[in-house]
Amino acid sequence: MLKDITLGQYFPIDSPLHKMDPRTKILVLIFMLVAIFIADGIVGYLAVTFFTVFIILLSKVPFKLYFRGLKPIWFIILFTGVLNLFLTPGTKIYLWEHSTGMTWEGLILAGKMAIRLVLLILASSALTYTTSPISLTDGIEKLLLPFSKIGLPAHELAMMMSIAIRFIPTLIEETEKISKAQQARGADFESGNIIKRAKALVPMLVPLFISAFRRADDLAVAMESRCYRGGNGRTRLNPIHFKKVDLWTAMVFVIFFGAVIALRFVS
Amino acid sequence: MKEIRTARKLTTMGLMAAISVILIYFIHFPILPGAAFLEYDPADIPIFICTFLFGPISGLLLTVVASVVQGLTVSAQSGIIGVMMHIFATGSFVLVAGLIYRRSRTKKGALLALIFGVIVMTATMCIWNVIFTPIYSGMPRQAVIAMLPTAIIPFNLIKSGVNALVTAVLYKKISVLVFKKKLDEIGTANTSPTHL
Repeated sequence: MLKDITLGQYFPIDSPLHKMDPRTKILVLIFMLVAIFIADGIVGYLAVTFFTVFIILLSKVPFKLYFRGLKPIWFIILFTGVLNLFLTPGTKIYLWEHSTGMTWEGLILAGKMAIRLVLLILASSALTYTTSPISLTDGIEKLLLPFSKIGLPAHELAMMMSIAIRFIPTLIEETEKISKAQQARGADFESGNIIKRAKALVPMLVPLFISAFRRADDLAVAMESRCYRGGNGRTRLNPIHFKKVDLWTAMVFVIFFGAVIALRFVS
Repeated sequence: MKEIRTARKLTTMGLMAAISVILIYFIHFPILPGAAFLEYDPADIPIFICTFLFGPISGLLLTVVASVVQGLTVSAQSGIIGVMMHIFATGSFVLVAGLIYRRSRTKKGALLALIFGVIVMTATMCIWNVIFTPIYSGMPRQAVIAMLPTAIIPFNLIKSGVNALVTAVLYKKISVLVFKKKLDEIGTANTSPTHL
């Protein structure tokens, strides 16, 4: 249980995608999501689908994992699919000469939306499977750096993310300890209505917060005694580099993205 | 943004983000029968507490940090749109509640801040759901609007109301301990609530 959350979804193997600069991957993902939204027509959908499958193959992460990532959204796909089927105006579908209340337009729309949702999830998973959370926060910091000129605290944001990721496993252990200790004293977290359950949280949250504040104090003292003074001029143990593979990816992706936009406006 | 640049504040906010993530991990359950994907989670509690301690801007920053870390770890399936919706929802609450509480740091001010926060967050979520959900899932806009009074409004009211309630109870207990501990440890300068 501890293991899944420490690493997020990171799947550490060796693949071209794993070697890539996190900045490239983040930017490609953002534009990929835009591409999935603007893609239109059969050719457009085929293009984004093929590109997503290509990325998945390139990541060398087993398909099984990607399917597992899709599990939580089946319900939403089904729910919106049914709504689309019945609520979209258009030609009615007749089954054995009975009107079903569904429309062909609704069927097409439901299919499109299902594909779109699945692709969105798959593309985002490809990023989180191939990039460790720490290198993602590094990438986010570097990408936000230009905005620090207008007052956005890029370094601080990334630092807080790294601290949070680092301390999640520690605090999980702590939470488990506290909840066992309170259960031994008769606390009940599982039953009752929502107000009761929320109230039951308080005896668990107070010690959790106190211990987090204490840890934060210790960490701050440790950082200050090592002369931490923010991001300016700070060097890294493992700096991230824009490599040849990133250049190639960027070029291929720009062509693909241009094609999707062109398809949208030509048709 | 000067207010954030001390190591202690930075580390405290980092740990609050971590608590926010693990709270989702441990506690989430559907509130309304029939809508299984509308789940209650207490992730906002540490963010609200941090807002009360450090002010609205720090609260907003923590909202962004916590949402992104959540998106990378526990709720990776909800993707970028889930992260953005969370930032809009919690961000609107934090901004309003933080601004009100900064004006009057009293019990009454805190309660007022939380109540207005709940109202503003629910209103914001109505607007964003009407804008975003049709784009995201292709649901017709009228269907989303029809869902407002039966699903979206009660869900957001209950979720943020419960979180506000827990925050109100918790903040009292924690702030006393935190400020007292600081007084014992540091003794002199910077013991006012704003200079943790």
